[in-house]
Amino acid sequence: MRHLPIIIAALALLLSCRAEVTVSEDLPLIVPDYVGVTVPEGIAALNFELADGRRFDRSEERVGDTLFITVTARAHGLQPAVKYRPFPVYISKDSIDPYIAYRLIEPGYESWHDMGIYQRELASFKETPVVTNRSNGQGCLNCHSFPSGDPSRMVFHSRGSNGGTIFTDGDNVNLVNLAAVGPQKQGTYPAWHPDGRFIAFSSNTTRQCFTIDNAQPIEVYDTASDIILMDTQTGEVKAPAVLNTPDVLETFPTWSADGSELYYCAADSVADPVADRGKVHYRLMKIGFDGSDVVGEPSVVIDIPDGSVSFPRVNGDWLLYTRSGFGTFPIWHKEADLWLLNLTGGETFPAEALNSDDTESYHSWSSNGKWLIFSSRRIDGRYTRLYISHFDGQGNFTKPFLLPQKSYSHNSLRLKSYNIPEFVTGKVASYDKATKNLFGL
Amino acid sequence: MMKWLKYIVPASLFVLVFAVSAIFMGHTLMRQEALGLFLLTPDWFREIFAEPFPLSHIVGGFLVQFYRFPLAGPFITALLVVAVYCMSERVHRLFEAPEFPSALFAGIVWFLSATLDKVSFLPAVLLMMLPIWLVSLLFQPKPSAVRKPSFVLLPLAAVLAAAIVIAVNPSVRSNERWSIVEDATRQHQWSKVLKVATPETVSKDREMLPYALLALNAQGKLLQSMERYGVSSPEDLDQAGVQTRRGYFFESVLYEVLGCPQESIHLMFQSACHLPHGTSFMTLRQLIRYNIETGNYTMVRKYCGILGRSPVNRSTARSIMAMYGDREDVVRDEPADSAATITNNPIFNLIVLDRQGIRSDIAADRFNAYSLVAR
Repeated sequence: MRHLPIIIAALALLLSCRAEVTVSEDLPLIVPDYVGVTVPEGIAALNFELADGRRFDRSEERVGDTLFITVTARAHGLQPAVKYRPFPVYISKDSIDPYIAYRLIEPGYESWHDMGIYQRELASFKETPVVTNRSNGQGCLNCHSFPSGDPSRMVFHSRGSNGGTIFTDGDNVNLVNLAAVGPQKQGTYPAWHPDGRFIAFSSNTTRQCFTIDNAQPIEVYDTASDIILMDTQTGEVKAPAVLNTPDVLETFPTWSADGSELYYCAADSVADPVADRGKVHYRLMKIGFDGSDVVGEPSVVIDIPDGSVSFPRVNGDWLLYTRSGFGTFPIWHKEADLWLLNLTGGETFPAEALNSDDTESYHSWSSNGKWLIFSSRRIDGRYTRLYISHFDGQGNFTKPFLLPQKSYSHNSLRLKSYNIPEFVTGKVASYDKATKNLFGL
Repeated sequence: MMKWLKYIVPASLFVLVFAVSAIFMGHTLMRQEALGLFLLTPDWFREIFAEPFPLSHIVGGFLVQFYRFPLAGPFITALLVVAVYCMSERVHRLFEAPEFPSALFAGIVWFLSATLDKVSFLPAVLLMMLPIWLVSLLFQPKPSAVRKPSFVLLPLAAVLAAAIVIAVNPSVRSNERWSIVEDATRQHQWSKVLKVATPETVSKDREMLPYALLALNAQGKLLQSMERYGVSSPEDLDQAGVQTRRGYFFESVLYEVLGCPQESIHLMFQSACHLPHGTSFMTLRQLIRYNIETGNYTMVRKYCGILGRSPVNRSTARSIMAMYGDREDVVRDEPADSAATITNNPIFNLIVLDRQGIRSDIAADRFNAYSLVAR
């Protein structure tokens, strides 16, 4: 008992040590890195972890349009608690479309097991299927696209036996085998005309080759590609000769903001697409459109002798594209980056804020042109994840933020890649049942 | 004495199921673990609940984790079959002479479980019996009749009959052979492969021939021994173009043996696409192994993180992370546009590998074997 005061004093000292918090001027190292990002109002919570795995407490204070987040790492072993400098998250006044849609698929080369087109509500973590390949006998579903982000209309391909292109318009769901119509060319990458009537499809014969021991394990290439135009009102499909030249690979159609021009990518075909794959460089082209057909002669917009253009997407006076060293499938190219083209001034430059040391690839604009969502493999080099960035309309992007999840580990635990992210202005209905009916399942 | 009679049937059932499962299905149950998956991840549960009878898949998936330990599968199978018997016996006790019909039912369920080769079958049966069993608890069982020896002998005979039928069943025996061969191939235990894939066995099951030849190849005996196996064409040596889980699995191990783990990763993904979840415990372990071989430690960490979400595999994942978790990825800076590529021609691939400096006696022997057989 006589030692009791000593014991109590020692305990008090110990507790006071553990209660001591070191105040640091450093910003916390967090994953994902949300420090200084710009987000839309109402986005789902930006959940993060400390990079060193320590448990922490978090507090937030909003000052005007800036949210200051303070992280206090808890004491761990001999390490005292550390209160880091608050970091800002900027809240933009620009609204964002409430949903995004994407495909989830294993990045597994040639085959797949489960895949589907899913939608995610940006204000929450809710992810629901739009259509899965349970509805078409485990076939492939791909290339979903919405006219100006309208959820009530969609086009996507359903591959496999009796497959084709599925068009939805509210409750109406129709399957069209484009290979049996008009010029009899299958559709691949779609691009809705701004008026929602015409769709330009590329029509691609795609192959893959696998390297033996290279940082890039796969190269996906086209042996042939052309562009066809479909009038969704009449069902007519045309293959304009100028976009179906035999020695040229035309692909990735996209429309100008007013629909008067069709942009696309084109490359001269090579004799051996595997051995000569490094020589396939896609340039950005454009051609006029008069409301019913392409007009005039195509002209070159960008031609990069040591690079290749993919996925051009227009936003007013700007066009964002993916630039890689060669070829047409940049997701497997570590060097692939996003570049901006000013359509009025003609200058093109990398969108530095968006790019990383790894792949940046597919992207799309929100309906108001203020936000961009894009695919990146910067986390692990294999599994594609989605990032969102704000665009000021002057050629500047903000630091992108990783699509928020309930926990950061969701990104590492998910064995599927996010593919073809698209903004949608509302919730998309589920088309599983309707697709099953189309396939008689 | 008489009161102990009621324990003889379930005890005998347990011993018999355990013994038969251990002797005739030990490797089959381990293969079920290899091709199974149970992960405490949101995606895994979402996929499970999108399927019919999700609860049985959850229970089956949870239990199959333990099958990687050699006698755990037989032990759990025996427990489940005895549970089927006990629940059935309780229901039948509402009537009379519960042992024989219960034993017969348990025997049939056991036989179906063994031949269907589906991990979720026994849990599905138990879950379907559960409500009936629960209702039966509300009723008083009929008083037991005077026990005669036939009360024990008949059920035991039913159980024994099931055991014999399972032990001699051709598909059970074939599954067991294949399980041994696949697992031994994966672990490069070539003598074990050849012990099962004998010329006689292979003559009845030609699909096993490439495995036998690979084992001979790896032991340096391919050229002198392949004639015993009746090799008649180059296609006998591999599974190139065989778009099945097993075909891709074989090819993935083949390319690992040839020193091309990057192609092994490709083929393991292809194999896994044929599995219910698009991956499995074995797939994850192989991907970890191949990514260690290619020096892609980022992927090693990812797959360990996922594997660690299986309670039984957590310690394995941690051990691997302890060894490789801090390593930097091996940098490959060869230009991608001129990198050598794999083709659809397995013979030409050996030449391509050789040109890349990936050489081995195994590859040389294999090339010579192709040349010999092609004549």
